[in-house]
Amino acid sequence: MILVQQVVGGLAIGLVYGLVALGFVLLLRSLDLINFAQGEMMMVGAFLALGAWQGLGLPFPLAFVAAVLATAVVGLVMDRLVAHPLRHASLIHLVIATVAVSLFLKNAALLLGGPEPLVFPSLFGETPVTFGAVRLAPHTLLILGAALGLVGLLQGFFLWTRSGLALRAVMADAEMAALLGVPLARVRAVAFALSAALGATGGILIAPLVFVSFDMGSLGLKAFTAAALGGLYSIPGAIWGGLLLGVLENLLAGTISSGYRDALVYTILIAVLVGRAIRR
Amino acid sequence: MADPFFEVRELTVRFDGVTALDRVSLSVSSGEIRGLIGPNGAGKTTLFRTIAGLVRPKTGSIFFGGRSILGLSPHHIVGRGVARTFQANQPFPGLTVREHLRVGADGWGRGAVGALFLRPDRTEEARLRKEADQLLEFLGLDPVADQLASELPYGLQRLTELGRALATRPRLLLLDEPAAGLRPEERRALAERLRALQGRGLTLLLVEHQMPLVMNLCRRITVLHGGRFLAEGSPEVIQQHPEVRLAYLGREAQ
Amino acid sequence: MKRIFGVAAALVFILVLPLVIRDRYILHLLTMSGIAAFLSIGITLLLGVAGQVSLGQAGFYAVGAYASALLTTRLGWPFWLALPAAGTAAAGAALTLGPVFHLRGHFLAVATVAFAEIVRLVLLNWSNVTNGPRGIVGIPPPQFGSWVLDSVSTYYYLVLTLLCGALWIGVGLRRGRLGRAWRALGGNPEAAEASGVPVMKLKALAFGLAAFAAGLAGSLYAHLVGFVSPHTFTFEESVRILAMAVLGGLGSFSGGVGGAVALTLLPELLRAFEQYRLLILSALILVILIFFPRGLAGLWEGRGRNDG
Repeated sequence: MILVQQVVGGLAIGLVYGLVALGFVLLLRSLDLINFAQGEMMMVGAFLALGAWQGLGLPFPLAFVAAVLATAVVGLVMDRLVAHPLRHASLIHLVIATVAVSLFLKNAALLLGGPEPLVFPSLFGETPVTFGAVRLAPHTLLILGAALGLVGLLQGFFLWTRSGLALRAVMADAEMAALLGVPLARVRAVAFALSAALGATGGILIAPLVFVSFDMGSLGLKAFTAAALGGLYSIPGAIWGGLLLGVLENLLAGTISSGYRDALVYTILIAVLVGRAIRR
Repeated sequence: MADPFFEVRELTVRFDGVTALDRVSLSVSSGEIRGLIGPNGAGKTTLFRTIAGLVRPKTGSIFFGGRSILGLSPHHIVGRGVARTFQANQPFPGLTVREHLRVGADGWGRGAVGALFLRPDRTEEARLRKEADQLLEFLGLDPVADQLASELPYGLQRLTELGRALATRPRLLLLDEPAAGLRPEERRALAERLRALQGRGLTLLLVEHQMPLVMNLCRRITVLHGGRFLAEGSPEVIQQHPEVRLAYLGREAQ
Repeated sequence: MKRIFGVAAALVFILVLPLVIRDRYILHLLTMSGIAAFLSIGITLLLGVAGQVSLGQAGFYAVGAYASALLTTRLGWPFWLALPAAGTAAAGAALTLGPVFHLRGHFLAVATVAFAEIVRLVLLNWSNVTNGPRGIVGIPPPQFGSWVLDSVSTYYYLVLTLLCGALWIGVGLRRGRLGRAWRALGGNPEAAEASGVPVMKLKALAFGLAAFAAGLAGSLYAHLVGFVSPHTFTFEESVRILAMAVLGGLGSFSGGVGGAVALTLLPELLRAFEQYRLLILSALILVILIFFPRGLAGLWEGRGRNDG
């Protein structure tokens, strides 16, 4: 029973990893770019949500949406100021650029928010909800609901909007899409905004479980591991990878200290990346 | 009967569920210029990549000079004497034309790794430089030898690419669409150079879409279609071959 | 001719510096710049010449620092043995990455980030050996027989001598057939392989050498400061190391050394703006990437235009 409990608990964090991982996958597929600043989008979203909710006193749902949208704008700004000018630059330059952006955001947050981690108040209180033999923290349900909702929205976006269709085309075959006249600059902007929004959502959802601090972005590497577990270029894979990682982490929580657990996760990341490369 | 110079037997390659090559067999004699043609997707580039060691076949064998080269790493295969040129034009950024040739000439594939930290001695260095000079002259690249290859016009970049491969002193050269994008006079010059190379004892396996070039240069042509061997013969035979015509013109003819 | 004169003048200046400057703090800083230059030589070779992106150099730096610290404090080894051992340990760590060299571009970069994080986490958690977050203290200064090197200016000369050796090796490697093969492999690995270049072996060699340099730097750092802790060897440090090469213009050893000095001295000069330091650094990196992709070396050669 404890096992089931642990698995379910891990699923919640796993979903968060999955959402952030989805952001990585979008940019990998459309631009062949690993965005080292994706973790920082989580952090920005969490900070903005906290600020809007506790600081400005907005009702939580509104604060949530506002923070996600604002972070999407940060993604747009990143595209306009960094990705667009460097669109023809070598890979090395792009990697360094996204790393620089991540450092910039991290240190801006340090400056504005201070070094102390902030508490993101729990929304529902501590009483767990019981489903048969399993007891779930209400927040887990929120994560589930929000994740499902977001994935649904994303599906709708891809299927029914022009931008979504264009993005799908670019993700499938960027060269062909360009030949067919798809406006690459606009699609790139959409991809950045969308992946920032996904990161922000993940950050806000996980915020009550961890502290909100300027170095929250380090979770980004774990989310990337989730994306890698899911095959790196697969959208459903990102979610599955996230779930797998979340459950794995939770199962090991009792046995290995968190420091070594993280080291294990990063070892898995290296192993998965190498495995993919060797199979070619 | 003597071993054929170069032989591929029953080569099968599969990726992601697609069979890119299906029991393809091919045998080339020393000193030949063999053409390899087929509609797009026929598997020609896959065949080259498999020979070069980049792709592992499911079944089949590849023999060069009587020895198997299957499973060798790509740079070892170059060391054995099989080189190839690339269809896509991508010169080494930051390297001059001369340096492109020197990379190949440095003989890494033949175990020069041991001599890593040691500079080649004076005589070897002089010899390598002289060989590179001769190759540059043969290709007509000596006026631009010390310019960055990436800053040269397309035709000269393609010649540099040819030089890069030739510098490894191959006995078999795989050419992947060497005439693509070349102007007619460049194509003629290429054909002459290829014949001259044949005259020097080099064996060539040529993938090309420019039919006049292939028909002119090659005494024997192998045709692939959909990953399978379709036909083989002299240019005249191939041009008249009904299945070859069907493969190329098929849909339109209907 | 002008060039040789300029270089000679710079050399004299560098040699005379400790005799002129008496301030220990500044000398310490300059020595730290020299140590940073080792890191920058390593990454210039790895990235600037061989084209491999490593965002994990701090990991090798850490291995060298801790190896030297442990060998001298726990096993009583003398500095002059611990130094090469530190370099070797770091190089060994690079070689254990073996299969990682199949990766290219940003995937390789991520793997190096993961590697450096693993090193940091192990150092932080393996308290029995590394003393965890508190680090290792009491690292002795170098000692050659009865002569103890505990003055900053003598340390400065030690670092300078070793640095000259490293630079000479680096420039020499780049010039010969190895440098050419590395540049080819960095630019187009498939074509390099098709020219006979053993890509995996040369990548491993580049990483090994860069790690060795970082390991040496680690040892020099440990024995200068007398103390090591995991908090020094973070991702930010790996970025700083990478930035040294970018700032100096990828591929240029002298530019890289300049970048190392700049990125060691500037943060100290901007001490008053401590909080803004990394913010400014990251913004600076972005500005350079977008407007001056050739870095310092490019500006020096008068070609600071955007060729991207």
